[in-house]
Amino acid sequence: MEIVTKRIIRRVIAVFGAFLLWRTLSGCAAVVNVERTDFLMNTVAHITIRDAPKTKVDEQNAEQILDEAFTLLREIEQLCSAKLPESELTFINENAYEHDVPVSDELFGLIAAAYHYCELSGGAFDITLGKLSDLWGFGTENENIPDSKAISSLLTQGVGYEYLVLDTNAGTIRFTSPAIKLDLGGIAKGYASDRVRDLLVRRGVRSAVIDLGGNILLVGIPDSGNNPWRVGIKNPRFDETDKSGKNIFAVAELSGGAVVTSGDYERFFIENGARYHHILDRSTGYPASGGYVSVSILDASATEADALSTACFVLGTDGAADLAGSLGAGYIFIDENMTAEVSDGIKAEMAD
Amino acid sequence: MGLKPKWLINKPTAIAVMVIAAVLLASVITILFTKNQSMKNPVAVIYQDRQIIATVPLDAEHENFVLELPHNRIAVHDGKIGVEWADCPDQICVHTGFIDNGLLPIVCLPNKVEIRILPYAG
Repeated sequence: MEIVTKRIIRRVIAVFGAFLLWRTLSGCAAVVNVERTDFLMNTVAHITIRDAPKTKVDEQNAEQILDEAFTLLREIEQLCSAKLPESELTFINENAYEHDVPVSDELFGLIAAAYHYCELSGGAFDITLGKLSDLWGFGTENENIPDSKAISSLLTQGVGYEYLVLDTNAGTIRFTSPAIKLDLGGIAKGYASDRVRDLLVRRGVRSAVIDLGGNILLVGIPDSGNNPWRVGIKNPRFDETDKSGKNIFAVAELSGGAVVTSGDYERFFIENGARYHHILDRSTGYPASGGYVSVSILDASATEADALSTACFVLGTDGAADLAGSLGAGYIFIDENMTAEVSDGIKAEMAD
Repeated sequence: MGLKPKWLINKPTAIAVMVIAAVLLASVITILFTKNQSMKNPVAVIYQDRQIIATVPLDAEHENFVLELPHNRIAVHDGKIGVEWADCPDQICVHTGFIDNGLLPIVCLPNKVEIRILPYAG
């Protein structure tokens, strides 16, 4: 009897040991959930790596991957921030009027991609409105309604991507109007998200969320397995004094990709009862009023989603759905009456 | 004596396998139970300037929890967490309202304060 008991104990230890070895070798450890936050690109960047079982990523190398991801974000910021005095974009803005300025391959590629969306949207998305935005001072202490003469002076001199000359062979950029200044704020976060996604995938990450100031890029499979990812769309008219109101307007369910929202409710000020938000229409020099108060684009590419969300916001009811549809992007548009227009194939559950 | 049972593997190994199976079953039940618990009580994580400064389970024990920061006052009401007051000019954090799930984070960019409900947090 004693011998049998000893045998059983030995076998238990052996089988359990074999089980542990199998767990280790198969990498089937507990779900990894490593996240980090930082303030850069004029917003908050939050990356969560929450790898599903059967991956090569453990907590330690997830931290290393996050180090690399945030280093990459800082490099991109140094390249394309219009606010950093030492950025490459600032150098272009200060020197490109009537001069060909050589540009690094990466920044040239991003500006060329942005130019493509300027053309596609007929200037609804336009990266040359930097001086116009400076007049309004959104996000600074000098937010104000500019003197209409100052706006019309810029528009008369010429504002728009048509005053931007990209020489692909030489890799140079030239401005042909003194009234333009490049502002990549409508595309840089999307581009940065795509770059981070590529890095994470290269490093073997199978499930992650990249959130750059509300621009969400979902990488791989949700940690819950087969269930779709769920992303909240903010209620654009949530009133914090009305506690019964819902701060989430809808929940989109998707299998992956980017969700980018442009709305009139974040960077804005109210003067004489009117709302002045930060998305400008280059044809007037004033905040766009196309009929939507919130535009969300769902697309495989965060770069495209970012540019399209601005373009569709400016186009509004007159062409936004056609533009998004022509590129195969999904959308959720919300108008002033809080009525949602949702593209086919997008599953969005409206909050009660 | 009747017929001896025919073991596919010898008896001690069979008993060992059964013990392991029981242990595994118990762990699965524990994991499921823990998961359900965490779904019932979401956990909010509060960051200030990149660092986690507080982790608050949104349960009955933390109802009316208040965290006074130099530029923001964070509170829990009705199982939800939010920014009650902030001295920032845009008030985006206050306007985001109170949250109890991971669908919407609260961010106060000027004061570098962030509140998120994280999966598996805590």
